[in-house]
Amino acid sequence: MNTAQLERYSRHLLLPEVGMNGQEKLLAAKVLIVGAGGLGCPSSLYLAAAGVGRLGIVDFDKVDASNLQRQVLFETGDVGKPKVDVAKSRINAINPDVQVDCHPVRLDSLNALDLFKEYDLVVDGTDNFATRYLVNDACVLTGIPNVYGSIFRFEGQVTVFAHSNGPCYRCLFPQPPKPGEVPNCAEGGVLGVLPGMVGVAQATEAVKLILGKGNPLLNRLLIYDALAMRWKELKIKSDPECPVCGDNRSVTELIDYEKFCGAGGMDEEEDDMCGDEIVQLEVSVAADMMRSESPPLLVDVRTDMELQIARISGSKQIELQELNSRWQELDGLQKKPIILHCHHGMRSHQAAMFLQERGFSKLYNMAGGIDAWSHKVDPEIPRY
Amino acid sequence: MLTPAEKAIYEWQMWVPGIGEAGQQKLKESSVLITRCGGLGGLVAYELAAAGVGKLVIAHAGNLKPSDLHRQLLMTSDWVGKPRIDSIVRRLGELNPLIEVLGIPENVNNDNVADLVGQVDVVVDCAPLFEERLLLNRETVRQGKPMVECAMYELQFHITTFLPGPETPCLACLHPEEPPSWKRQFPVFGAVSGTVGCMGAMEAIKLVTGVGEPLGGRLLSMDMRDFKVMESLIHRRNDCVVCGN
Repeated sequence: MNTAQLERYSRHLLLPEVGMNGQEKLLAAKVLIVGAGGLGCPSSLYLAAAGVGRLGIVDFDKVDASNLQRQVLFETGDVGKPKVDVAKSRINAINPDVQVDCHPVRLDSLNALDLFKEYDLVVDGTDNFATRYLVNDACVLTGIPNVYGSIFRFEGQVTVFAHSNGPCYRCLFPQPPKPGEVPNCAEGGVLGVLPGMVGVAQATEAVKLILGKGNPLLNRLLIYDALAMRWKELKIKSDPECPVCGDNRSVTELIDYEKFCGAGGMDEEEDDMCGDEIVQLEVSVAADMMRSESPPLLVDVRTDMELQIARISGSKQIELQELNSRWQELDGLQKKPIILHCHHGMRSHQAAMFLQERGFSKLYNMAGGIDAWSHKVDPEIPRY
Repeated sequence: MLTPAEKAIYEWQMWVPGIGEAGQQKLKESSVLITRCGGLGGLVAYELAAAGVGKLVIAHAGNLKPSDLHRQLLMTSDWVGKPRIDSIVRRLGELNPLIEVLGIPENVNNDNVADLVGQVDVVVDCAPLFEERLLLNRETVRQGKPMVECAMYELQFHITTFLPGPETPCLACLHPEEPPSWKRQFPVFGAVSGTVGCMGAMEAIKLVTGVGEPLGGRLLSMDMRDFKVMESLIHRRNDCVVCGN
C-alpha cells in the first residue's frame, strides 16, 4: 500500500479484524455484481469505497429516469447512458484503486460460467427469477459464494448461498413462481431506500467473506421489514433433494432459465403438458411417458379385487376409497408427474381431484383406464 | 331486426348481461347442427329452439321404439314405430314456430357430413356411435367450426367444446379411435342425458353470442351420484391424425 492508500483505508487499518492484512485481501479481491440496479448500486459503491480491488458489473441496460429514485450510482444527466459505463466512472471517481470490469451483456447460460470463474464471489442484484436461478446455479457449479439480496415493495431479504455446504437458492425455492404471480418493481413498486438497506447488507457480507471474519449469513435468511423497521432472522438449511447442490443432482450444467421460469418450473420435457390442472392422457401417450427415462409414478386406484383380475406392472395401488388415509404415501411427489388410472377413467379422475386439493400439481388422468390400456398398449392384460 | 313477437318471447333471456337485443339477433341469425337428437340431442334441440336459434339442422334416422321414451323427450308415445325425425320436427315446431327446423331422417355418414356441417355455425355432437363422432370431428376441423361434445353413461356425463384453431385440441387428440369401453347401448337415466344436453345447449348459446367462456379443451365430467364437477384439460397433440402437423 502506498501512502495515499494508507491514508484512505486508515479507519479499516485500525480495526483488528481488518488491519493491513485484511485491507490487502480487500485490494486483491474480485467481486462480480450482477445487476447495476437498486441492489447493485449501493453494494458496488460501498465495495468500491472499501477498496475491493476488482469489481465486475454485469448489466446490459441503460439508465432510465425511473431508476433514479433508488439506483444511487446514477444522476439525472445519466439517463439514456449505458449503466456499466456510468457505474465505472462513478466508482473510479470514488476510488481510483478499483479496477472496474464492464460487462454490458445479458447474463445467460452460455456466458455465466466463464464470467463467474474470474471472480471470488458474486453479489446477486438481479430483478427477475430466471436470472436469479441462473446466478444461483452458476455459483453452485463454479463453487463461488452467492451474496443474495432481494426486495419487494417494503421488504427485503439477504443471505449467503452456496458457501461452506450451506443452502443454495434452490434449496429454499425449488420451483419458481408462475409467470406473473410475483410482480417486479416496475409492476409492484418499491420503496427507494429499501434496496439501499439490503444492498449495503450484501456489501457487508461480501466484505466479511473476503476478510474471513465474523459470522457470515450462512444458514440464516434475514428479512427486513421497512414499514415495521424490523429485521427478522429465519433458519434455513440445505435440501438433500436439491437438484443442483443436493445428493442426487439432476442439474449439472446451466439450463434454459427463461423456459424454466416461464413454464412455471417444469424441469422435464413432458411436464410442459401439465400445469396445475389435471390433464387427460390418451393411453398411448401415457405408455410413451411410462417408457421414458424418468417415467412418472403410475397410481392405480381400483379395488383389490379388480387388481387380481388385471394390473399394469409397476403401478402403485391406492384404492380410491383408501386415498383419504393413504395419500401421504405419495408425499414428496407433489411436484412430480403422477399418472392415475382406474378401469375406465372416472374414479382416477376423482382421485386426481383429491390429490390436486392436497397440493399435487402434475396430475394426469389416463383416459379410458386399464381397459383402454389393454386394448391399445398391452393386449396381454385381461379386460373385464 | 327482432319482431315484437320475438321480443315478447325472448324478453327474459335478453335481460341476461351481454345478451340484449344484439345477442338475441345473433341467436336468430345462427344455425346449429344437432346429431343425433335422442336423450341428449333432444334436449339440446329443445333448449336451442326455445332460445330462438334461427336454424336447427337435425340429423336422426330410425323409427321410435318404446325404449326411447324414457329419455328422448321430443318423442311422443303415440309415435312408436314411426320415424323419430317427424316427432322431433313436430315437437320443436309446436314449441317455437318462429325458427326453421330442418329435419334429416339420416344419421351422420361419410356422404352427408360435409353438407350437414357446411350448413351451420356450430355443431353439437350427441351421436351414440363413436364413428359418427370421429366423422363429425374430422369435418368440423376441416371446415374450422366449433363442436360441442357431450356424452353420458349411467349417472356420469362429460362435456367439452372443441374450438377451431391451430392451438386447440380436437376429439381425436384424446380419442384417435373408438374407446374400447364405448357402448352403443348403455345404462342411463333421462335426467342424466338431459342435464348434459342442457349444458351442451348452453355451450352453443355461448359460442353464438360470445357470452362467457366456452369450455375450449377443458373437459367437464360429473358423476351425478355425488354431483361433484371434475375438470381436466385435453391437450392438442402435434401427432394427432386429424388436427396434427
